[in-house]
Amino acid sequence: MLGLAFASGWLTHRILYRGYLARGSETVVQRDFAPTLADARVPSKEAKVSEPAMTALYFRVFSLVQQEFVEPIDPTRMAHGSLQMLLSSLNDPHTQYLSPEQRKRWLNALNGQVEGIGALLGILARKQGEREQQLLRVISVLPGSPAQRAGIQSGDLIVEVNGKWVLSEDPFYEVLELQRAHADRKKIREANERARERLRNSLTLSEAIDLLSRAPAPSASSQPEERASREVAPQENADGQGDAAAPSPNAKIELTLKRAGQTLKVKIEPGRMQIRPLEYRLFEGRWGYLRFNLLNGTAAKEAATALKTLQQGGMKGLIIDLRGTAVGHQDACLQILQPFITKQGGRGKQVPVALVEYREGKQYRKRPLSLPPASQPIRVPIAVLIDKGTYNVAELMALALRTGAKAQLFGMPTAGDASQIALYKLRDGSGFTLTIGRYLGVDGTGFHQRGIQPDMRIADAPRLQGQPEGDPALARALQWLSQTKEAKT
Amino acid sequence: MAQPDEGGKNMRACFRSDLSDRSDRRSWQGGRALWRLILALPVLVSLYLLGFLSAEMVASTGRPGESIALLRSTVRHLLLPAESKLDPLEAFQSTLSEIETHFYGQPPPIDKLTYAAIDGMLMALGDPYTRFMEPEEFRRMQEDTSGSFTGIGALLEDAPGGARVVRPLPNSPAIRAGLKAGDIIIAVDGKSLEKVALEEAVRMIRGPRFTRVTLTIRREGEPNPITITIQRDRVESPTVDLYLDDSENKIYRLWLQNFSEKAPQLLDRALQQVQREGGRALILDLRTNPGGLLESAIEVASRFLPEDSLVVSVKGRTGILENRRALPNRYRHLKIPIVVLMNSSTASASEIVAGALRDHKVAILIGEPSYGKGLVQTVIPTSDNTAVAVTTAKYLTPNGTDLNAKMVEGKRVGGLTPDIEVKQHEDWRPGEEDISKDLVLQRALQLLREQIQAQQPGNNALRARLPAER
Repeated sequence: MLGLAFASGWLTHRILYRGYLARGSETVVQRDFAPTLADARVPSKEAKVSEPAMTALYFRVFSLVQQEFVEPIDPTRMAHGSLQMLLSSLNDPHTQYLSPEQRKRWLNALNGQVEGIGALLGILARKQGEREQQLLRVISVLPGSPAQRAGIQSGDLIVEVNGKWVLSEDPFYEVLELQRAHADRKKIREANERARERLRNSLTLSEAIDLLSRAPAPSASSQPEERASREVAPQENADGQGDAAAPSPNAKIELTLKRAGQTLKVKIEPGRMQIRPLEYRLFEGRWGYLRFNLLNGTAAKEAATALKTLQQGGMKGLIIDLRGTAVGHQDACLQILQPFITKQGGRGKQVPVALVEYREGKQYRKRPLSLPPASQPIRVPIAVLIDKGTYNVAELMALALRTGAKAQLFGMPTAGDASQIALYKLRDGSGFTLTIGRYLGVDGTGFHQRGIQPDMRIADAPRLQGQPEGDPALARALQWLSQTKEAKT
Repeated sequence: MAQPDEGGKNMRACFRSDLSDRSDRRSWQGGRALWRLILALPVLVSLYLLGFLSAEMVASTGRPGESIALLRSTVRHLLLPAESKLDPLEAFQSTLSEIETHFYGQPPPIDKLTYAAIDGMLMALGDPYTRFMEPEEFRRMQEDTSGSFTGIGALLEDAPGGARVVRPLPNSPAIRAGLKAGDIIIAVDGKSLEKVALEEAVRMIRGPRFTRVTLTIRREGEPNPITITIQRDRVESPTVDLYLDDSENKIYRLWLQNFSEKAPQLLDRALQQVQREGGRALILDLRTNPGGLLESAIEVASRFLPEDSLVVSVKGRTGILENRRALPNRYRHLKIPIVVLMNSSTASASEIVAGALRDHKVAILIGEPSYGKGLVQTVIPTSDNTAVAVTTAKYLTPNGTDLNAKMVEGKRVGGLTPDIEVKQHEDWRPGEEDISKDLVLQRALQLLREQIQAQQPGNNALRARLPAER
């Protein structure tokens, strides 16, 4: 009886929201080691582990420790430690355990509430001969963030944080080298001492990431300003997408960066900021411009409205700016693509826009990500702006626009991360991310690690101002649009 | 090894009782049933809501629909307060299952994944000694405490590019094949040890009896690496070595290298020799002795302490003290001065013996502060070939000193403090034949010579000469 009541509640929900559920089962997040974006999954209730003996072993160890350990234990902490090691043993850059706070930060970031310096960080593994390094790298700098104001660029390597060395390689490497070279004992001892000192004064990668992605203790309740204004007119505050909270004093973080072989030092005040998902305008009354700072649900909703307004304003061509777009959500991305989908084959037939490769047992299979065709698809020429900060689902979107809507890509090759990532939520609010697939273009071409090559290569613009002046890629795209238009008429 | 099976039985018993109390719900009769139904209605309604909301939660993905979201968050806080607890088993099972079905890469074998999860779980306890032993490690542990194994019989230490031979054991395959102290093994059977941890290197060198292993070694004075092939054989684990460090004064040094099962017997043999040859002072060298079995420590202490002397107190989780005392018929009645040498690698069972000898004023301690491992591990088998070592208790010396060092601002604080602290020469290595660099030993010899020359037998007299006794 009780179960029946519960079940009927559950069923009602399923019937009411079947549409959402169908899509919800494919929800995906992408991330690197920064709180970027998120989407919820809950581990399957009927957890079936292929070897029950292993579950029994795990349980036996846990109950023994619970009974016998010299001090009382905290099962939740043990569960966290357990998942941390389990997930890191997969050795996958996108698979990791998240504490409740870390998970929350992710979800916030997806909604545009970003803490810390406002840069998305990743880890770059490099091997030079025997020397293995894991470098902390800036994937993308969020517009209007403290990091952008401090002049940080995507691709920068963070070497030191507040004078502490970010542990990117074995500090005893030098010692090993000397020992291999049979240097004398004194020299080796000195090197050893240096390495120890270095280790003492260092931060692990995760400590550094945590420090850079956290706001200082909240001062005033700084409510983010309202969403982007909806006028077609150029926005007055072109680079003010962000709205950093007043940081408390003494909270500056000093970073030592490496960029193209040079070492720079910058000071950044971390804060909290609200990223506006979308900005748009109409150039010369003809060329629509959409700039996505985020690819989330709000961005999708705003994009739909923006496209309508632009079309009413007489849009003859469209520029979609995905430079530095690194925070996003697969479903939102598909939703944004939908108005550009033209019918293929029979009526109402879903049109594939990309493929996902996934594992089934020991085999790999591919399945399409498909969308229903738009009733009145947008058919204007499209230019997409990309750079090395165009990341993951943004890359997917650029590629889908190229293959599906014949868009021309302008700028620099993209970041090249095609991992399809899910974010899971566990009972206590902690969770984990898991790489569950790999995106491919609809024709099967991959962009993982390679990145997407632009049709027209244009060196990075120093600043994204939403103005063609000082933005060669945007200027070039506008020029291309007007030529294409002229050629057609 | 304490009652390996108790936990398992309890577990099963729990499961059974969980499943077996549904029997009293069968009979209900008309009026009472209706009454019950009315009473149950609120419960049913809230369960309905609960079902609805949990389905909602499963599906929720940050889609639009703010009114629903608002309702959800309000009601969720009323009905479903966020659980702050996570059950390790549930978390493990569900995560592992997600990995197996959804992870994009080929996941490692399930046993490796399980071991990783167990390691992480035990690491969260913050006690480095509570650890899981994978089959390979468990097997090795069994070898190590039983005191014999098959290998080449050489004591190795970590060295750049490989493993350095501290010394080949007497009468071992290694010494017969010409391996020398100071040789650095850089490859085993042609496989470079450059990136290989010492433990792994040892595993590569060990193997079945009578098989051969080829070592590539670098030797001082030889321009090129040389290779040596050695036939593996049963090697008696070195536990006790006896040295006559000062033949003039008959000062013997007994180096006890671990507390294996055989340690007490070997110690007896050595002590007999010292007594037979008329030793006038004894140095019990516990440096670099990582410990071993608690039973062996009690046995060893019983050679130096009269029957029933308190050796160590064991303080368990419930706070109940178990007092371990010197065993009967073991006391050797040594009437000569005794010095215990220790260093920062003197740990566990070694510290128990050193602490007991100090507290009973039988010996004085010379050297460096000890490691500070005052925790008792019980090794409990968890399957056919795995086990878990759990810290079940703490050691206290007879005077009540907690032997376990604590981490204070990244530094270990605790362990036994020597009566006479001597900083060791940086180039000293344990087991080196040349004792001129051994500053700790030199200090001990000096003290004992003075003692012997003053013709004052007995340890109390020796202790009286100490400047400041703690």
